[in-house]
Amino acid sequence: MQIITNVFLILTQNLVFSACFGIPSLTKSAKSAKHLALTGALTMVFCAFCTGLLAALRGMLPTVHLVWMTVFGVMIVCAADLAAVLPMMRHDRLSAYIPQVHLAAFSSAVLGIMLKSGAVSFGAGFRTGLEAGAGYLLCCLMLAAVLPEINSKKMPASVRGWRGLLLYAGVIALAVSCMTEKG
Amino acid sequence: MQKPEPAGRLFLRENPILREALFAAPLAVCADSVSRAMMLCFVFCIVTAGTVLLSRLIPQRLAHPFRIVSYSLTAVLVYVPAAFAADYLLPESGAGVYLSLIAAGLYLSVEQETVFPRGQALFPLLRRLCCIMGGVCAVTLGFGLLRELLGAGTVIGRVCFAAPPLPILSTPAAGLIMLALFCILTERFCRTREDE
Repeated sequence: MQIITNVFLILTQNLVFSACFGIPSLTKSAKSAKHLALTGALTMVFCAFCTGLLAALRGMLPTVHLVWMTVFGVMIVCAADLAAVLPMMRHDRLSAYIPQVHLAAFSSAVLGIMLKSGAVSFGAGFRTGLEAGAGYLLCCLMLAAVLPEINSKKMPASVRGWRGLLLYAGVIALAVSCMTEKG
Repeated sequence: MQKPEPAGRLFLRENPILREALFAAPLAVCADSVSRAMMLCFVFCIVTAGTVLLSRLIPQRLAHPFRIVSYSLTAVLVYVPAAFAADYLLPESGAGVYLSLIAAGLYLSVEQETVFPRGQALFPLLRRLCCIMGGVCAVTLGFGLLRELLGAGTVIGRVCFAAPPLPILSTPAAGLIMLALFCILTERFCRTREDE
């Protein structure tokens, strides 16, 4: 029962469905299900580590305006992106995935959850980021499952691809918001 | 002499919202009224113009990952005064995180060299910048106007309908669906025009 509750919570408090974070990364990865799943997994890793680091910084600083937290957040994201990409540049096979790493690191899902999280220690921030990232990954997998249909020739040309995916995500978001509606 | 790109093409085809649904979160969640849409446009224009012009100072011989990081840091530095100005103009908007996403998104970091190629002369670059900013502002304001009119029954605070005709449009999910429909209709329109 606890697992079902957790899955339900991850679905209803999802970054994409409740706050619309990370959608540009989804639409840019809508070429194939593999790309979408990879973007989801990388975003989850960046969400966990970057949220943890910003939470640790927040714990050391006095109350800081959101604008300055954004500056710190972007600096952390840039450092994380370089830390992931620079070792990959030395390997021919891994360097093919560098664009996916950039898409995941600069995804609005990562900065969004970093700024929305109120955690003040690395552990709490890491956990918040990991949960939010897991929700994002779940959303990516859900969208990856329907991607072959959305990209098929049966769809009208103007709906095919990321536009259809966006419409589908919107309909799921509406259903999820109805599930969480009170009264 | 190279022929300038048609303004209509830049306005619609190079529009980051209609081309790849960039800024989906600020649009779907935040642009539910004209005043909030205006604030998004204000921050977008200042940050984009400032970042694109300042980024021309970043040396092109830097490795690609370092250039991306430099663009992102430039964008966030330009964002600081823009965000404080927006906060001063409309303090109760509650758009904080979504304003940050405009500056720190994919558009001004990963996508910047694709949209605003390096080495382009200043005048064509400024023309391209103005057309793209105009396109984004038109879409954002249209989006905010439609959602405020149908979702709340008002326009800039003035009551137009006693009961809002479609209150669901004020929710982020409906904003996402509306954005998708906006993109689909534009694509359909552009395809029809190209076929003709």
